[in-house]
Order: sequence, then structure tokens, then C-alpha cells
Amino acid sequence: MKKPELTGKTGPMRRPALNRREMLERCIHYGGLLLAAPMTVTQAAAALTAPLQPTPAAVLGPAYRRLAPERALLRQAGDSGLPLQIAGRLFSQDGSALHDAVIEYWQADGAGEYDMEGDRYRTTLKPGARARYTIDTMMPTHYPGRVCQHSHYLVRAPGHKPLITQLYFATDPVFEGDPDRNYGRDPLITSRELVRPVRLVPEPGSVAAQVEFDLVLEKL
Amino acid sequence: MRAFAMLLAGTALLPAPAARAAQYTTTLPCTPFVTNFARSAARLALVCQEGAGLVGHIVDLPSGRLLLTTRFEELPTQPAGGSFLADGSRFAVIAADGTVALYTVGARPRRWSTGTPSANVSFIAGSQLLATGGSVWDVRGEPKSLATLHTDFGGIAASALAPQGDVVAVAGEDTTIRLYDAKTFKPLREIAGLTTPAALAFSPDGRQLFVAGGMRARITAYDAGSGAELRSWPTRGLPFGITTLPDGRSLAVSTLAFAMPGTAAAAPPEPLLLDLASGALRPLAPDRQVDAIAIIGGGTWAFHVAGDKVEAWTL
Repeated sequence: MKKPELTGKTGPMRRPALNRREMLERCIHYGGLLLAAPMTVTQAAAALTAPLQPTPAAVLGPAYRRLAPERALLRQAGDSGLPLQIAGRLFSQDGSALHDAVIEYWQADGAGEYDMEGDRYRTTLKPGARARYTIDTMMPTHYPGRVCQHSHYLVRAPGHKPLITQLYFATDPVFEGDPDRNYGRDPLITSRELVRPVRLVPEPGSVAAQVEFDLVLEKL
Repeated sequence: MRAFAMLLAGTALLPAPAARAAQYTTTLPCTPFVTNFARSAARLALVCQEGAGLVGHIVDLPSGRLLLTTRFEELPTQPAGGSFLADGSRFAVIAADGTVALYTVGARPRRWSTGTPSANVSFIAGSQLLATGGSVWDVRGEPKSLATLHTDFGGIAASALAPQGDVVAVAGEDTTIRLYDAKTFKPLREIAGLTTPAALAFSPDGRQLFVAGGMRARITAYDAGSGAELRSWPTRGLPFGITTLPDGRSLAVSTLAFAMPGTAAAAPPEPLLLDLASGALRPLAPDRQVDAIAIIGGGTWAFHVAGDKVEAWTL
């Protein structure tokens, strides 16, 4: 098997050779690409070493609150709505895993309200060595004046621009099953990429939603 | 549109002290869902739904004359926030991607990108300076960035110019309030916060800075010289606007309805009057609905919007 070319013909290496773990991580990130049309090894390697597009930014909104506690489990017994697990990885735009990123996450509760005096549905996460995060929460609800269900992210990592963005859900009734066509119904959705597929999985006596949302930060 | 409504709700909501007949009533070109009254002129900026889109107008209230109409074609998406110049001659809106459109009565619109996604754009009170996207823009001619102001993240959420004209206070979306020399934009001091302020106002002597907590139901007073917190008042509604009244002794605080977490009922908007001498913050007994006030020619005017009608009278 031909060794993947990680060096350009005229320029320097874009990045050091990937170790097995990093290659696997990137394969996961580029999963759709790798399952698409057949590619040569060189093409595949080029795709693996191409700069990633930073996650599109979105407005912060008025409900940010500093100093949320560090925890992955936000839902509590008795909370209403659809249980939701959000998971994803953190990358620099050169494709390297961001081990030292800090995520701040917040969303409205089941009544469509943000907790401004406390920390309900707020968290600070430090993904650490695996550069992967998981949040167990409830599906955000609609509230008057805002079109779509959404949750908020502020992600910071040394040497990178802070990323302020929002996550939307393809199952949101506002999209009527066609987020490609209808994502513009919410004027605050800055990119279709922020509307993520939702996978429904059975749970004992219930069903839960799972969403993958990788985050790519732009270098300073 | 909630955010848009919040950000446009910059003028104070005050109930009139006593019921009295309207001195004039104006019929608007449409029934608005967002209104923003000029602070020193009888002009109203309003936004109405028109089919799937939005239409904006500036209306001269005494005559009902339309001074400007726009369908926001300059923006890539519908506006996410806006601000009205105190004299009612200019109206700035921002799309979520950070594109700003500036509409001026009698002039062509201007459009530029701040490069920072934001729903916040505000004229710094008492000036032709526009604060948005992390920068202060001089918009007297072609928009020109005067200064890029540091924030840890995000853009500028609110701003105010001291009555003496020497200090500008700027609240960042990063929850920090930073005070600057108004001429050089040299940083003077910082006031750390927990949430993003929605509005700022200096006391008439410039010594105190009042902060409307926005989504945090609280008004807080700081010593503008030291940055020390002086006092804080909880509010029932969400405080989104502060206006210094011409008596120089009080501030009007506008609020929006909100529901406390865990409760179904929203507290109604509760217009407030903050007495600077005593520090008392009290609701004004409403016997007539007032949506905004404006200081016009030294007099205080009150306005009430009902459907497509605006009533106006002096206080």
C-alpha cells in the first residue's frame, strides 16, 4: 500500500505525520467524506490534512452568565421534555485536537426561561486529554420571540479566537423536516452547518435524543 | 424577534402621573411589533411584519409624515437588533452576521460589515458614535472605525457617554464594563460583571454609573471613579433601558415582562423611577399606560402605542 503523502511538492509539511489515534479521530471527523465516492490514497490524505473550516459563529445572546459550575449532567429528575445528549470533539483548524479548550454552555429550561440568578442548564466543561465533551441535558424548548430551539456555546482555547456559537436541531418543527430549505426562518441562524441531525435512541420506558456537534476553533 | 424587541426598547417606560387627554394622536403606516422612540424628538422608528419580511419606518409623530421607509435590503438576513439616534434622524440595524445598515432621513443607506456576529448596535448617547461589533464607529460620513475596544469575547452590548463628555462607558458581551477617555479611548478602569448589561447611564454629575441588568433582573449603581459597587436594586421585570430625566434628580428605568424560573406567570413590565438623592427605586402608580418618554425642548413628553395609533402628551 502506498504511503499517504503528507508533504506538499513545493511547500513544507502542513503538519506532522498523524499517529494512529489522530488518524482515527480525523476519520471520525471526516466520516461523511470517507464514506463518499472512492478516493485515491493521495486524495484522502490531502483531505485529512486540509485545514478545517472553523465552526460558524453566532450571536452570544443576552443570557450569558459567567462562572457556571463544571459538570456534564444538567438534567435533574422530574425535568420535563426530551432527554438530550450532546457530544463532540474539539479541533484546531489545522485538525489537531484541542486538549486545553474550555467550553461554556447554556440553554433555556423546559419553560423557555434562562436561569439568570443560578446555574440551571449552565455548565463549564474542560474536555481535557481526549478533547471530547458530553453534555446530558434536555432538549431546549421554544420560547416567545425566538424562532428555533437552540443552545449556546462559548469555547476558548489558548492561541485561538474565542468561538461563540449556537447549536440548532434538525428535528425542530420550525424546519418542517427540511432544514436545508427552512433554516433561514430564524434570522439568528448564521449557517446551515449549525443545524445538526438528531438521532432518537430508545431508553428504558422512554426515548432520548443524541446530537454530535464538533467544534473547530480558528487560530489567532 | 424577542432580542430585537429588547434591544430596541431603549426608551423608558413610564406611566403618566395622572390621566389626561392626548395632545395629539398619530396613525402609523402599519401596526408595529417593535417601536423605538427618539429621546429628544417626536419621532418614532418602527418595524412591522410585511408578508414574510419586515419593513421599517421613521415617522414624524405630530404630522404622521413618513420620513423613511426600508425593507432592510441592505442586510443579508432580517435585522437582529437596532438603535435609533436621539434626534430621530438615523436608525441603525444589525444582522446576526455583523452586517450593519445605517438609514438616515434624506440620505442613502450605508452598509458595512463589522466582522463580528452580534445582535447589538447602539448609538452612544449624546454622540454620533455607533458602538457595535467590538468597535466604535464615527458615522457622520462614511463609517469609520475610531477604536477597537478590547473584549475577552463577543462585541459591545451597551454604552453611555458621561454628561461632561469626558468618559465613555462600554459594556462588553463578556460581562465587563470598561470606562474610556472619550477623546482618546484610552482605557481608564474596568468593572467586572456576572452577566451582560443591557443599558448604561451616568448620573447627571458623572460620578455614578447605573447598569440595567437586562436578563438579570437588577439595577446596579457603581462609583464611576473607582468602579466600586455602591448599591443594587432587584426589579420585577427585566431592566433594558435607563433614561436620565431632565430634572437631573432621577432616572427612568424601563423593564420587560419575564417569568421567574419555575413559575408560569410572567411579571408585568414595571416602569420604575430611581431617585438619585434618596436611592429609592419605586414603581410609578400607573393610571395610564405610557410606553416611552422623550425630552423635547426641555419638556417631557409621554407616548403610548395602541395598535397603529400613537398618543402623545406632555408630562
